[in-house]
Amino acid sequence: MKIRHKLILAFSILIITLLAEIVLNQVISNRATTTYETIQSRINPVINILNQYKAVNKELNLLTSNRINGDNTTSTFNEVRGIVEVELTYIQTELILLKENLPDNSENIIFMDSLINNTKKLISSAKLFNNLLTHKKEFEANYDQAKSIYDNDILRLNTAIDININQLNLNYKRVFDAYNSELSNNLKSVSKIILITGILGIVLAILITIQITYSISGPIYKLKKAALKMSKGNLDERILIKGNNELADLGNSFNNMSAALKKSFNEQEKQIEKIKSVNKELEQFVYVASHDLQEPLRTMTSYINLISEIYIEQLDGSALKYMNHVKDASFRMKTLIKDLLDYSKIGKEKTVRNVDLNKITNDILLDFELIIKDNNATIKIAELPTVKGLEVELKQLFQNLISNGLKFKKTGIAPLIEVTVEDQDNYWLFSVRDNGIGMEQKFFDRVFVIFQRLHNRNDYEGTGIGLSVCKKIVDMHKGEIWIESELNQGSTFYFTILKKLKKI
Amino acid sequence: MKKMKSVPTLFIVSMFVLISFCSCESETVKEINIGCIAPLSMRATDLGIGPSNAMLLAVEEYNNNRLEDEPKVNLFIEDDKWDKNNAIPAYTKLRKEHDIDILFISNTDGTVAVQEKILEDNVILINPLNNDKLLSSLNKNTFKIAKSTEQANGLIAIRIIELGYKKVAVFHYPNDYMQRAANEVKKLLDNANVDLSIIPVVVGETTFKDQLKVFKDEAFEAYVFFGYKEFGFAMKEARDMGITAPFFGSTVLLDPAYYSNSEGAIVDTEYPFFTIGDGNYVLATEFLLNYDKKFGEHPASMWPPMQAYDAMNLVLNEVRTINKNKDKDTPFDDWLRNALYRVNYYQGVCGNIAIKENGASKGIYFTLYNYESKESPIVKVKR
Repeated sequence: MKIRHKLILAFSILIITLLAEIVLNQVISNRATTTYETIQSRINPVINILNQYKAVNKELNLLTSNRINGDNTTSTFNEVRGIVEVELTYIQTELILLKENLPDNSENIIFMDSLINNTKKLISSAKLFNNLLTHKKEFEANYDQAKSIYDNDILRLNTAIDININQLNLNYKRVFDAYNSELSNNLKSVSKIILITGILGIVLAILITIQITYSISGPIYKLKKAALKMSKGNLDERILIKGNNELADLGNSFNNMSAALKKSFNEQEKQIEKIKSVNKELEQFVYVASHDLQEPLRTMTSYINLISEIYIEQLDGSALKYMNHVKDASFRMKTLIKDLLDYSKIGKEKTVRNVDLNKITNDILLDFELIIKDNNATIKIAELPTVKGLEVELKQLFQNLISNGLKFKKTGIAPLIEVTVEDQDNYWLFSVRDNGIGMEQKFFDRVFVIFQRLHNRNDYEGTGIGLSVCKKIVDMHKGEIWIESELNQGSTFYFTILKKLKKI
Repeated sequence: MKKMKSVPTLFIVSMFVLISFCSCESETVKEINIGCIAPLSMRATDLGIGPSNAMLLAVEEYNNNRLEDEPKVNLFIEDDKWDKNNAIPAYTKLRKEHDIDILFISNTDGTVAVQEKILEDNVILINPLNNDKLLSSLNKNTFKIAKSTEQANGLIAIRIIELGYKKVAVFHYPNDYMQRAANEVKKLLDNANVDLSIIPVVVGETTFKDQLKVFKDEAFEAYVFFGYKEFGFAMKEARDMGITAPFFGSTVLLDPAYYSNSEGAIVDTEYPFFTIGDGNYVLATEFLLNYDKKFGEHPASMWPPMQAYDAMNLVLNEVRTINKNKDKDTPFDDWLRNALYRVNYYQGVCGNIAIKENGASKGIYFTLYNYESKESPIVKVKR
């Protein structure tokens, strides 16, 4: 099953669970609300009115009792009047309204009717009773009539009303209890539903999460593992993801990509091999060409020397001049061929050894002893490390750079060359600083290209191979070479060499 | 093309819905202005200052506690100097400046004077001071949420019968309320065969020696003074003339000027009055505490502010439901009138109040008090 379908299914199950909970809750909550509203609108108002009536009835009973027993104060008179005119009238109206709202078959209708009729009679009797005892003067005259009303009507009605109220209270209490119990059950049901659906939802969510997570993370882990192997060069790695989902498609795509990469890599390797072969042939050609060119050049030089020695006297001024040009040209050609041969020889010996750079530089200083003396030059070489590399090539590197420093000196200023080294984690950083003529920044890259010269041959000797040789050697030692310089401010050549060089 | 047509149709429908919505919103009543005309100077200020303060308190409490959909109420008060001639100008000013919908006025004659106007303007009138048969016969927009004049002053007649006096002189101020009080006493005493002499006085009259001399000579056994502070002079004159018969007064006896005019002769006068003990003690005590807190003093006379507070709260109780219960086609006065008619039990500071079909309230009952001394002028009469 597709992952999106799985997710949709999972969420659908959760949503359905939630919907079921909502629907059930709504149904039961509505039932609870109806029950509550019934209690509030039909039960509580009646119970409240009945309780109020019970209190009023009791108060009226006490007040009328006090009045018949001689309490003739205006306050009592007014209190009875207030009960009769306002409170009993209000209760009577409320009872009539409540009765109208009762169902036709309600057993309470009879009690309610009886209560309303008794209330009417009580209002009438109490009003008459109260008026008979308005003031002391009339009290004695009206006492008998008032007493008769009190005994025969008010007391009887008080009792009857009390019985009616109790009966109605009992009935409504029962209904109230029933509704209350229903409300309580409904609330319990809501609570249970929330608990059960909650637990069910959580369990479902856990199961679905585990299933979906596993079905997603398993293939992803396989893909990660395969990708890691590929990154290490194993292009034969293939993965198998079962199923018919997006990750299985991704696995297939990965396999296709892996196959395509392998194909492309193989082709690239073939190309590289081809390039290497061509390069080797080219180097071989340079070596052979430069080596074989030496022989005819040596012959030419020998004969020129012979001509110079034997026929010197027979040559006129012009011939001598031409002979000298040929001599110079052949010398230059010899140097060029030698340099080319050296260039092509670089790296022929590929065995990496420990090379003591102090020894190398000391040998160089010995080689340059005369030149140093002639130029009054100073060469300061710091304590250098023993590095992994090719001894001959490294000597060539230092020799070229020191030689450059001596060659490109400023007129009238004694050359000063300083060689330093810095430990940089994986590399050694060397610098060769001189106080020579320096160069503009635009030439910084050009100087490392073979046969590139910045100066006229007449000003400075050279074939334009030296720094390209340096670059080739540094490249072989997995390092970099660059220059920092300003015109007339000297130059500093920096180069790095990999510390843990194992092979060239 | 179909799309092009539907865009303006949609716009028109949206505008229609928006306009309908705005129209619905505008139907909500945001504010209601209430006017109050009361004596704040000149005469009977205890019937004006205290009640208007109580009404301000009720309105403030309402506004502070009202819900969002309940209208704000503003109360504007005008002084009529207890003169019916000032009622119309004060009412016109309240209508013109504040467009009031409800008017509270305590002067009975003033209530009668503005009858036509309130009906023309669809204004509901509440008298929070008096409630008598005359007021009950006025137009349908007039309500009386107050004590019954007949009930309160009838207490004097009942007391006279109880004490067995047979010759009683009744002085009364020439306004409707005091005349009605005198008439009620007369009605009750006539049935008890009491010889009654009723003397209407003139406004501003301050000496009553001639009448008193006649009554003294005829050995009248009790004197009733239904009126205002001027009767303080009458009491003083009576005692100076050697009249020792008991005095009875009206509901306004606590005006401080009354005592000073009588120079103490007012002491032992019995009069109908209403205190917190006669109403709902708990609510009334809370009201008086809040009154003291807001105005920094006790009202000069307790019952007028208590009645006014109940009257205002009873009206506010209905007004707060206007946005729920009133439909837009029903005029305001019709709606409020019917709502007030439906009040058959309101628990106020004066007691439990109901409103009868004639717009008069019932449930506020006065009792008899004795002016025992200047320091304790309100002592319930023990019988």
